[in-house]
Amino acid sequence: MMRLARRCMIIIVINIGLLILAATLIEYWTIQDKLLKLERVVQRSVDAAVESSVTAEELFGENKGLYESNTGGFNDEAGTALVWATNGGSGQLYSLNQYALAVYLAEHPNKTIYNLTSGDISSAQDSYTANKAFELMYGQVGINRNNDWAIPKSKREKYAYLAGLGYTDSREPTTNFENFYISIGSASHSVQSLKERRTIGSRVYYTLVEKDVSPLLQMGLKLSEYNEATTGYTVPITNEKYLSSIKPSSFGSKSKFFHLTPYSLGITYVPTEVLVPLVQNNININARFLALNGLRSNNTADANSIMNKATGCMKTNVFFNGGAIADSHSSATNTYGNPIVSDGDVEYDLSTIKCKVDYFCFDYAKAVGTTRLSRVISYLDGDESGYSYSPYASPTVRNFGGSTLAQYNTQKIMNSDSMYTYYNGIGKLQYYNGKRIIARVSVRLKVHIVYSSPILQWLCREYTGGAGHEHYDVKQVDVDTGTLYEGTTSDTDGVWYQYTTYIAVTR
Amino acid sequence: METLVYKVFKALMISMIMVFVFDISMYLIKANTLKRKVENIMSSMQDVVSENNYLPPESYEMYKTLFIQLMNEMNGESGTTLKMRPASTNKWFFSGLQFNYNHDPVNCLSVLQVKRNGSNINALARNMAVEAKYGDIMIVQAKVQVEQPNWFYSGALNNEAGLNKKTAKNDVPHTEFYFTYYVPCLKFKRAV
Repeated sequence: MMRLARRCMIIIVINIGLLILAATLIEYWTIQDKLLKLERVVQRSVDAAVESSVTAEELFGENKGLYESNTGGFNDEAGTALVWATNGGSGQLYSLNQYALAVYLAEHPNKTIYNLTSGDISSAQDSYTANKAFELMYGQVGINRNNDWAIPKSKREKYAYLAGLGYTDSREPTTNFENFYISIGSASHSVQSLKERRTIGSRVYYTLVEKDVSPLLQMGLKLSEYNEATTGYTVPITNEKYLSSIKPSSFGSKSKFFHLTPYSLGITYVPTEVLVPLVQNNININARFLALNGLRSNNTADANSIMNKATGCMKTNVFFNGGAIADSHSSATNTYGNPIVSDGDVEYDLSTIKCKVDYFCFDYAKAVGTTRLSRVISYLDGDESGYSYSPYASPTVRNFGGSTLAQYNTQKIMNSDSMYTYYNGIGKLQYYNGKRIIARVSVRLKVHIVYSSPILQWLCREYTGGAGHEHYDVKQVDVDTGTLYEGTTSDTDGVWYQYTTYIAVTR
Repeated sequence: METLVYKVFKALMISMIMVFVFDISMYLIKANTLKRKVENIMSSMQDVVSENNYLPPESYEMYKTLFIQLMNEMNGESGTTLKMRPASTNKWFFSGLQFNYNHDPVNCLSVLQVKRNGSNINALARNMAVEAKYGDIMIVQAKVQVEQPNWFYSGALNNEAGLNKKTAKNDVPHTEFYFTYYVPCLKFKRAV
């Protein structure tokens, strides 16, 4: 009898040990899939958001010119992002212009990506104008009418019409954009033609001058003295485009207008006012669609039901004290709503998303840069010997893409120290500037890589003091102290995930 | 003597069970390996579709080559096509694959409602070869044909009419695994 009891005890203890071991092994086995999912969701979301926030300048372009009421026809398909919003408690997908989304969230501080309703979507679409988007990202929309001499006669009527609509000379840039221009945006410049007004006695003369300035001045905001023409100059020098941040379209009637953006001018600028909501929105959407994978039903209601369940923390497999309802990982609601969205394996806390954009300047025309760049290009072609630094050297002839030697010469990488260069064969310029701006975008958010095993979940519960306090998830360890990482405050719930990408626009 | 008979039958019975168990286990291991490898490749394909709003032709050729290599690796052969083989000639475990590239996907959503300007529209794009718009949802599907284990009960073969059908008797049974993903198109394309 004693021997039987002892054998039973041994079997029970061994089984418990094997159970815990198996649970831990399975957790390690599946964690790689969870991490890959996390990487996939964040990487896709951030890459798409960066590109969309930078390159959607077509919405401000001439072929999508604004109408007199400045609604710009943005109710159509262009620029319409997928947004998740609730309607009477359950959510569904909506289509909303990405700039309308950004403007609406900026105007309503109590609204976030995770508490949008169908009424918010309608309001955002109805009240949105392209001018509002421009003012959110870059600066005020206005026009200077004190320097009509700088405007070609063929366009003066259109500018007069603009002034008649009530636009004034308020063209102040936003704080972010002005800081960008002052610190690095002006570093990339090109030679532009400006008009100079000279007064000799009672006679007025005009002449064309070339100035090496930033293309951003063409946006028409008050970034430099050239944008105001009369300020600080005895000899006014300006350009038609510098005096107005809203431009009359060359096509169609005088009631069509457009704006110039950094992307259209070949300058890299990432407007964080649009980037942050797009990152939040894309993560929200991508996580829900990952939960939808493998769906075989042909019923939209099933799809919506699955995507609805992605809101909030996942249910665990812990039923404490014989309760009939499983614990949730945590009660994660804040003032605005429930910021957690899950893809079935990982929970993303949308309220913790932080974006940072750094800029740096790279001179592609410098000898050092040319070496690096030629090595990059040589990987494409397999031979870097055909590239030369001096414009007058006779390079090894490489029939690159079928071009002739003359064409090849004009497309070489030029040394910015050279005083005379050819620029696409058009003519000589004083100097050629190879500086281009590169933006580094870093996004950081708190994620919860939750345990699937009930045993590990139960152990977490015991450690963290019960349901509703923290997630039953992978914790970050401080490698110096060997304890749970707390950061500046108690930060043991979840781990921080960071992703960095780069973008550069060139012309 | 009786013990010997009992032991022989016992050994035979256990052997039969073990053969069945091991055959199914090996099949499950192969199927699971195939599933993981296909999912790895499909996750990369989803990234490409998300970045381009469709599957560019050169990417399609690249993935086709990858799957042919996977097929040859799993089958120990050197095939050159992904075309699904009919059951009568199918001798391979992994015997065919089809994307929804110029084909319709099956066993998945055909409509996914998105509200735009107060009206519900179908934002689902079903053909990976055709570029979708920003804000559409592309179905990315791979239909994989695999051999099925022979341990199954078939009512058709259990009667004389079924047994007399030569094709049914000699066919290698197969089944299909569906890998279906719904990928939002997040690439902002030039407005037209």
